[in-house]
Amino acid sequence: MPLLNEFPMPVFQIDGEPVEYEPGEKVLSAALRCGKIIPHYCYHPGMSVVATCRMCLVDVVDLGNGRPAPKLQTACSVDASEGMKIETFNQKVEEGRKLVNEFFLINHPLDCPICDQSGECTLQDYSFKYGSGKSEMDYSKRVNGWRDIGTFVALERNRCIQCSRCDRFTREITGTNEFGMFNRGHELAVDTYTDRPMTNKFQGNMADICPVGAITEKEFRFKRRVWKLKKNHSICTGCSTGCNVTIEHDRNEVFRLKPHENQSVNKWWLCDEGRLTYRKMNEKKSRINQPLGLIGENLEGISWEKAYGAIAERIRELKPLPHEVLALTDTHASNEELFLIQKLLKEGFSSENIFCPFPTWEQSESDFFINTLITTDKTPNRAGALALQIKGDQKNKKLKKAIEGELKVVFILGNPFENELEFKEIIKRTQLVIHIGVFHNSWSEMADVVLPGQFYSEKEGTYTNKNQRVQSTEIAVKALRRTRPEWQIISELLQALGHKSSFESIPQVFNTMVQEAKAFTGISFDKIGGFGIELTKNTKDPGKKVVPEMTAI
Amino acid sequence: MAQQENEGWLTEKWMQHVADICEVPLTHVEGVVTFYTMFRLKRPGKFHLQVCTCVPCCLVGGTELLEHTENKLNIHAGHTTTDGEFSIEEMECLGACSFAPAIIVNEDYHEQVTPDKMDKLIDQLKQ
Amino acid sequence: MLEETLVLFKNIRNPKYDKSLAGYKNTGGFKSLKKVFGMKPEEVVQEVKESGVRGRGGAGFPTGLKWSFMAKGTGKPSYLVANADESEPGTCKDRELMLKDPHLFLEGLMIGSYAVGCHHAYVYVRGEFFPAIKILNAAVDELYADGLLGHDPLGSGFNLDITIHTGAGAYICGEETALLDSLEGKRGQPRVKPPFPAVSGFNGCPTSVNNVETLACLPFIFSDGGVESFKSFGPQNNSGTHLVSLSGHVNSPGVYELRMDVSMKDIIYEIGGGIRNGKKLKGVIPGGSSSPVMKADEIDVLYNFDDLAKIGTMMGSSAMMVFDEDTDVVKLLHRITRFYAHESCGQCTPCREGTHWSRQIVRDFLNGNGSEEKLKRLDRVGGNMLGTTLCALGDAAAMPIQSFVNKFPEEFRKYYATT
Repeated sequence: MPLLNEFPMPVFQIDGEPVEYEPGEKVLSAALRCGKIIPHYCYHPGMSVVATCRMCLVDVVDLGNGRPAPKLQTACSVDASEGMKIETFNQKVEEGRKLVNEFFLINHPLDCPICDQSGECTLQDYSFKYGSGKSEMDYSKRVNGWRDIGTFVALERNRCIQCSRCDRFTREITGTNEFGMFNRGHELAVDTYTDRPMTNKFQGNMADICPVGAITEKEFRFKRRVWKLKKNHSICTGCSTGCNVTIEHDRNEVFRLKPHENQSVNKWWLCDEGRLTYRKMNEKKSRINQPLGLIGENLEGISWEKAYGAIAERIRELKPLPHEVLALTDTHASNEELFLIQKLLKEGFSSENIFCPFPTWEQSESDFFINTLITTDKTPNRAGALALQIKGDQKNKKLKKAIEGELKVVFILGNPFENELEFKEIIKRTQLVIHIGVFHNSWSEMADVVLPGQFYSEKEGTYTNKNQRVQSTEIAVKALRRTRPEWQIISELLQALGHKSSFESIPQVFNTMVQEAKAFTGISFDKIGGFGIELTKNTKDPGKKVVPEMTAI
Repeated sequence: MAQQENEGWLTEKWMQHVADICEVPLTHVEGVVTFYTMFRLKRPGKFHLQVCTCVPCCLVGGTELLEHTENKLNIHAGHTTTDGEFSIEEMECLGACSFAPAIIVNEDYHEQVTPDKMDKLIDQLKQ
Repeated sequence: MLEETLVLFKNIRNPKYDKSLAGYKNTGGFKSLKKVFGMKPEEVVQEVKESGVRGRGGAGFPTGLKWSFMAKGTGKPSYLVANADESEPGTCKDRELMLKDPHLFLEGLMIGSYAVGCHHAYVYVRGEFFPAIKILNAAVDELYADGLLGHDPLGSGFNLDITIHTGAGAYICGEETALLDSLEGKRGQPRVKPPFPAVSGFNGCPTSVNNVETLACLPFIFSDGGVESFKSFGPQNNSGTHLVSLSGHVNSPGVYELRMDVSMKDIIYEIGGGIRNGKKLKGVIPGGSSSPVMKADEIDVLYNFDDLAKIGTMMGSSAMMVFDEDTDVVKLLHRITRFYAHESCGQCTPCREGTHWSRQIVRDFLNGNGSEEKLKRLDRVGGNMLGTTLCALGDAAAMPIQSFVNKFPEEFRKYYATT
């Protein structure tokens, strides 16, 4: 067969098209990997195969030995083998699916109009696509009732189709075993042990993997219909793991974060804490919404031009020496922002006085992969700062020396060293304090000029996670009218100070960074793609390994 | 996994105990307990009458026998008499089909039980 | 006059038989085991293949072939599990064997263990069989005391332990993978196959699950001239005797040991003594409640695996349930569907929903709410379950429904014609 020569991996056929598989792989797994659609409920690539929903029926017309399988097979449990031929859309299969789908619906409440899953419900989709459109079930349906099963999710058991994904999730993914299938036969139901609420930190995933609206996120209940949500790929900035997420938003309001599959980072999962970071994206009260300048005693709104002009003028007056300039940044800033502020100091003032906080952090070790997603470093870009050799913490001698010397100009990016009151006292006395940030904080209060930045859901940028994987974010929601992304602010400051280099876009900054910062050598913005790319040069700070306590039931 | 029975029924405390001994999660224990019919979460009577009404027994009077017993003790299947002496359970096949109708009283089989025999048996047990 | 052929029941039918170890040895017990210990395990498997014995639990799979599938050289221990979870309605043969001649079965288990290289055999007895459990435990204790179990029995150099494990009330645990899950202390839910138990069974090790009666055949097969005479008891591919559990409306119900070339008619009228109270036969459920029903005019057929399969039904576990002309077929079907609705493990959709739904439809007929449409629907629901489920329970629930509807439609019509 000519096909064999073309593909190094063994091949079988789905609907006449060749599909590669790894030896021992199941038909469904190989099919999904190659983008084929076979409807399924209970199968999840991250969990064991139970083959109980019976939806993924396919017709094996040739088992590889020239003979067909006697009856329809579930694609999730059939081993792919060389020369196998599978049909997924012939009449027999469609009939089988229709029959199975009917069984799902007979006890399903069909309360789609008030169900949050509606619009992303596989039962709804498959019923529409493969179902028969009518039911002959004319008895009262099974009623199991609503359960408050956890801190983050709620369970509407009437909608449950007993696919057991949630049960397998707590057994195989988190290892917390809080959830189980009880009773048998028609009364089979999912629940927690004697109705105790769950406490594991990954409950939101159960809402994701639930193919129907049985498990839903409490945060999202009755907030918005899912088909109204627009989705943008991004990363979670809740900690240094950098889980891939989609930011789901409507009318410039973010409603939730959902994990985005990335096998090199978070697989399919996201922790509840990370999900909750969406709240910050909608935060309006403490946002800095326009440039502010100290006029007399008070910070008052000024235009961008005026702000830049005033800064440039003050700096000309002050004529700071390299050691009289200081920049403090937090590690919420993206790689580009860190790089540019470093550049600002270097080119504007020939200074290397740039510091960011580096508390020690802990990396959980666990047999259950999902536990390793949570780190104690709650900033997204510590590794980026390390790669750019921006260092320092409160014990850092250099930083102390810099602070204790005579300071004239201080740049503050974000909210670094928020608990170091000592620093603040000193910096307060500095002649020119420029704060670039998203939210009002103690730095903005003491600043002479405040430049409003944008939150990460509003701008582009790249972040380097704990494993030194560089990943990028997209613009999801529109920023406030009079704010600008920090990278642009810093670039404009550079121009205001009379430097020629100007940056128009994130890829441009990134590619300049690749040329100038050794750690980023060998990569380019285009290579980041949807799944990120790891730095080749190792500047790792692996953190302290700890074994987390198992969450008790 | 051998499960201990506490006068023929289980409570949450006992399930916790089993989970501790076997080092398995509580949900696993509850899952197992609710799966099998022989684990009970309700206290049965001192004499637990398990009447088979499955196909072969039903053919030769199992259903009538159950009705008779229910009337005699004035309770429905699945319930216990107020004095806690008797409880009735309707069973699926007991595996004594050629000797139908069959019943089990606690741990003893009684075969080819007629309503008369049942009356006698209950009277006997009452003493 | 048709008579029983006594192979498995040769002791049980002897009124003076003492079922203790000594009594069993007096009748020539454990001679076969001794002979087997002198053979190589592969030879034993070959001999069993030769005898053509087929699984007596319902599926009728050749036992020797099953054993030859056992994964070898995996470095893991092999297990043999005796399936004594007899709960198919109508079947009560294994209970007889365990109650009345436990050592015959245990010898068979030991022969099987030797053949598959198992050093720890399990007997999974259904939990309701309290007397059988007691007897088996006592019998195993006797064997240990006698040195037939444990370390090096009969100087064979082969170690074997036997554990009696009790179930806790679930029909589905008679399905071999569910049984293994149950044996491991889990909910007894059938597993995905492949892998088959012969590759990954009990605790992930190669395992063979065999019915009690199947194992009880082994001592005879390994007696002198056993294979030939075993084969002579039935037509080709249906060798040996089998225990027929006869129940329902016959004059003398009971468990009978018969050859496989006997017709059903003879079994009912000669062995069973005909229909009680002089009534006429209406139908027979030939092999446990899950087999398709047969009408009275179909029973002139040889009672064995292949001949029944030819006419679209099955012998299953050889449990014949006979019902007379007065029987209400709809009620009977309602009882059967109720059984399956109660015993479905619920994990896979068609069975979980279908068994319950079909039960509701049949109940509608009983309540006078039947209709032609519902009859069609019942047939359709049954058909939907057939072949779409994970284990055989879905099929088992579907076959009686479809066969009842197709063979006795007038009985259903009676229910709604009058209302």
